[in-house]
Amino acid sequence: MSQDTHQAQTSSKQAPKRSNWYLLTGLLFGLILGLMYALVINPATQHDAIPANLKQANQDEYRSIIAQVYAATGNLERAKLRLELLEDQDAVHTLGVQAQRALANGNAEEARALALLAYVLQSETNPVFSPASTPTIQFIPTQTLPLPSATP
Amino acid sequence: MTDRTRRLIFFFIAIAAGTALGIALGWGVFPAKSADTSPRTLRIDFKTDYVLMVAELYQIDGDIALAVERLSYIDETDPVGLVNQAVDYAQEHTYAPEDLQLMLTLFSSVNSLLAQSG
Repeated sequence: MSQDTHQAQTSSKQAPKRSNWYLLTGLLFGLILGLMYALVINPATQHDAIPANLKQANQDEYRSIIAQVYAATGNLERAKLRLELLEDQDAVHTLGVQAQRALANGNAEEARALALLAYVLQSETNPVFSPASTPTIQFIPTQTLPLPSATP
Repeated sequence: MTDRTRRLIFFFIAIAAGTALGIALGWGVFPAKSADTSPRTLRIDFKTDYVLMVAELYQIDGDIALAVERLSYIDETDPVGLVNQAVDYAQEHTYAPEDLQLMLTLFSSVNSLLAQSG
């Protein structure tokens, strides 16, 4: 028997060469499992959120507390710095809308505080509306608050 | 070891590697859903400022039960721990003495309230 024939016969008896696609399949399957676990079952929780990252309802509560503190202490600079953390596009408008919502829900004290802060901030940007006196004035919010007029 | 056994072992190793990669991607690379963040995840300086706000209101209204309710916005389960953490942070970062005093007063009152009810 020649060497070539022997090699041919030996080759034909060897198992056919298998692909390694099963490794890729396993890897993909594991990747899907890992992603499901990390994103759905046990997502990472952050511990460095800023107030602007909070859910809308939580932002409203945060804003409400800021307004109540301002109504109690009169510290406008601190209130402004705290409001900036919420990154509202129009803080006066947002405060006004929230005040109306609070009033509609029967939270008169909260509505009063929100409306007061909105009024004082609006007075700062629009000097025509000068504040009456100290920040702790008895301010009764109306059902429809004056919104900042659009600049022509 | 047969060929089939070896392939099976490598298959499970590939699954394990894929899982590890998926977890690393899910936790490290893809950002957390920032629009769905709860107050509990606020950074410590913002938590401290919130506690200060509660302390300021408590100084005015003297309502400790309401103060505890306000603190539950951040931590429902351990308001004392929250205020304690805030006081520690404030002391480390040399907050104004009057602010620190407000928080210490709040801490004392919350502690007393929960000690009485507990």
